[in-house]
Amino acid sequence: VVEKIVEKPVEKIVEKPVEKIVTQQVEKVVEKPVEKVVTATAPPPPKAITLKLWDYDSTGDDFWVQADKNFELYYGAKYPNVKIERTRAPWTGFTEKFLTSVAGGAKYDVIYGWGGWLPQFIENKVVKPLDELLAADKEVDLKDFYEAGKEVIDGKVYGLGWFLTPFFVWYNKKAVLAKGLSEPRELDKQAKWDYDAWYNFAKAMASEDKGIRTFGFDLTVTGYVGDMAVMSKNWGSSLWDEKFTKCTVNSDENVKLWEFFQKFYKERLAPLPTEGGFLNEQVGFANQRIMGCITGANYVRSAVQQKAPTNFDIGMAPMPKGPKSQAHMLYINSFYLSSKGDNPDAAWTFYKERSFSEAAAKIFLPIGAGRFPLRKSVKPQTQYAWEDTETYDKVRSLMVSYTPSPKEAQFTALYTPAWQEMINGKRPVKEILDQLASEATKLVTSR
Amino acid sequence: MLIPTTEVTDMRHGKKPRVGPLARREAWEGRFFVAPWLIGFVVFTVAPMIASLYFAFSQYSVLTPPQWIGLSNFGNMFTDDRLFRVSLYNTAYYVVIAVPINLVVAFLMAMLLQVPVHGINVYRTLFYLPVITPAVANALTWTLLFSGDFGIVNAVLRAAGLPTVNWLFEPSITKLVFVIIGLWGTGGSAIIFLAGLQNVPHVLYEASSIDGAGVWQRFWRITFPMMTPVIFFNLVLGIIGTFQIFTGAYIVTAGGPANATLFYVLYLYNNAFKFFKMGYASALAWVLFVIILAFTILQFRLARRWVYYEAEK
Repeated sequence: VVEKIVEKPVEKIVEKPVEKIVTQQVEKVVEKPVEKVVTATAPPPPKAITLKLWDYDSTGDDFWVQADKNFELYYGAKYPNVKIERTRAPWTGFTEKFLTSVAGGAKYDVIYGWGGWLPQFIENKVVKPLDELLAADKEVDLKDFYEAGKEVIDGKVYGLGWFLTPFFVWYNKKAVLAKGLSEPRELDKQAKWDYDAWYNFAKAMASEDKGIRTFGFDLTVTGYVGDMAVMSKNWGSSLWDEKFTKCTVNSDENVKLWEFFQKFYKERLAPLPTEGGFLNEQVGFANQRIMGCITGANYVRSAVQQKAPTNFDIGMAPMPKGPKSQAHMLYINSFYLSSKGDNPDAAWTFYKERSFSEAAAKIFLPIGAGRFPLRKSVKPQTQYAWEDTETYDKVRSLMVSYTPSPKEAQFTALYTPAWQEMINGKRPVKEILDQLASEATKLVTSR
Repeated sequence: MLIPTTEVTDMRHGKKPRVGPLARREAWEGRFFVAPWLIGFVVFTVAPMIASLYFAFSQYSVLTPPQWIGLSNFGNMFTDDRLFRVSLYNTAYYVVIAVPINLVVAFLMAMLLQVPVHGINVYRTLFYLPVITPAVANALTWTLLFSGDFGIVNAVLRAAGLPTVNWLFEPSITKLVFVIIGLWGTGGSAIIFLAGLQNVPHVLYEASSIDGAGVWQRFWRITFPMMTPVIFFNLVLGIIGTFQIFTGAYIVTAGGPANATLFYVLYLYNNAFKFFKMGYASALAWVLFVIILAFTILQFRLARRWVYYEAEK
């Protein structure tokens, strides 16, 4: 997930590869004639404009910093009259900082965002839907866009993902083969990669040596509402009814799903949230203390950039098939247009260039974007040897986006402690989920 | 502030005060010098307090104008908000355990720091250092120390052949971890105790020694009674401070596990800046203000029974 990556920026990035990759990207994009690279060809606004961008602060992630610079080079060459003024904020506290900044009178034209925040932005009237702009813009063919890449709330499109990544299963291939086990990738080909196989994999891969635990699988993913929503779907249920008037997190299927995950923690197959996680430098995937995890391709590029392939081969597989389906959570980072910006036309021009031009897809490839371009007509890209294009193709038809509830921030605040209780296992799962469902329903009905 | 002495003198004799040009000038200078603080206090403390009182009776997200809803925020808080009760319980639990432990440890620390050994000033500085270390850096350090797998505390336990503990993921233990973390800042109270200890007249100790009092008697009959005003001061400040525990919980556990460290101010912060329920957060703030005020008044009442002020006798 993009959010997880940015919270824990990769620090041990080798400098030389960065320069090499980045230089290649710049050469590829900047040296080419702009007309050939870009699909959006709106004429530049007539006067000098300062476009105010509330942006994610990528400090510490050299690849991201460089990609931003490259995009500015590209954009500056094409629109010399537009100056981009960025205000950067770290992922932690991103919404708090943004909304208090707006409350303090600051104005932005374009806002970086993630779907989970959107309900709060809409509720506070700081973003506007894109529908009118999309309908009026002859350069945009909406049929060319993947449905799953659109951020839609109450039937209105607010975001078109510039960074799309479904979740996959990643595993330590070398260790799996050393144990003589079938790879999840192979099991999937044989239609045997289901939840039981997942549990068996974790159990077989977990081990302990002199008090040092190697975990079979990381379940950080279960702590996120969006991921659980898709896994719930795969078990034939959901977290909410269709109109978000009743929380159904306590359905029989969801109770079974949580009990399934609880086994991992009870049997010490998965690390506790305070013990590490796939990105953790002490107990993580790259240092081989965790044998498998579920996350987006963007994380694995971090692992690669941490030189993990020198230690082991990375295996890649689709998500396990649930009792009902094998849907894949699609994580999206979008930009949103401000409802209070001073430069709406320039903002839309920027939006198109930054979100779904071919140039952007190429420039941001080193940070994991571009593998799943928003537009069907833009070719998917790969960068590393471990990328399994067959799996990418399979998942393309299985990816679903998550629609957040109207009170997502508060729902998440209720979900997290419930999830921690599930891990602790002191109360029955059914009891925890009944309480969560009751409080979440109250949340949306009392607004 | 400079106070014209002539004014005081004259008022004492019941005469109309005669204020000379020098006194008037001094008074204006006093007002001038106190003005920056006074303006800051009014603008940044009094005005926000008044505004928050209004918001407490409103539905207000900061980004849209407040709407008056009367007592609804308080009604919801006391009848319908489980997390309000949870956060209040967590905070009370922390106050009840942390404050006495902090006082005892700080007092003992101060007594040790009073012993005239070589390099005592270095020790005093070292014990005070955590107080001026940035709170975020402190919190991150404690996170690393108490981490379940790779934390230093568990590494020591493991090396000693003892079972490890999920310090930050076991609800019954995590609150106690915060009590331990709280001890890190006792240097502040210790310095105040130290100042108090150094003000206890030596003549009392000498006289009692001549009368045959032992160490224990000297402590209970002299040191402790003479120190009660300082203990009272640290107690009042300690309770006020611990009721407002925030930074550690925000960074180390974010209120977890399972709301075990969802302390009152953290819950208030979540409502204000995560959910943008500023009206509700204001109501929470005023309830906390009333609670702390009540505790402080109670302490002042009880202080008459156990605090000894030499000047009053």
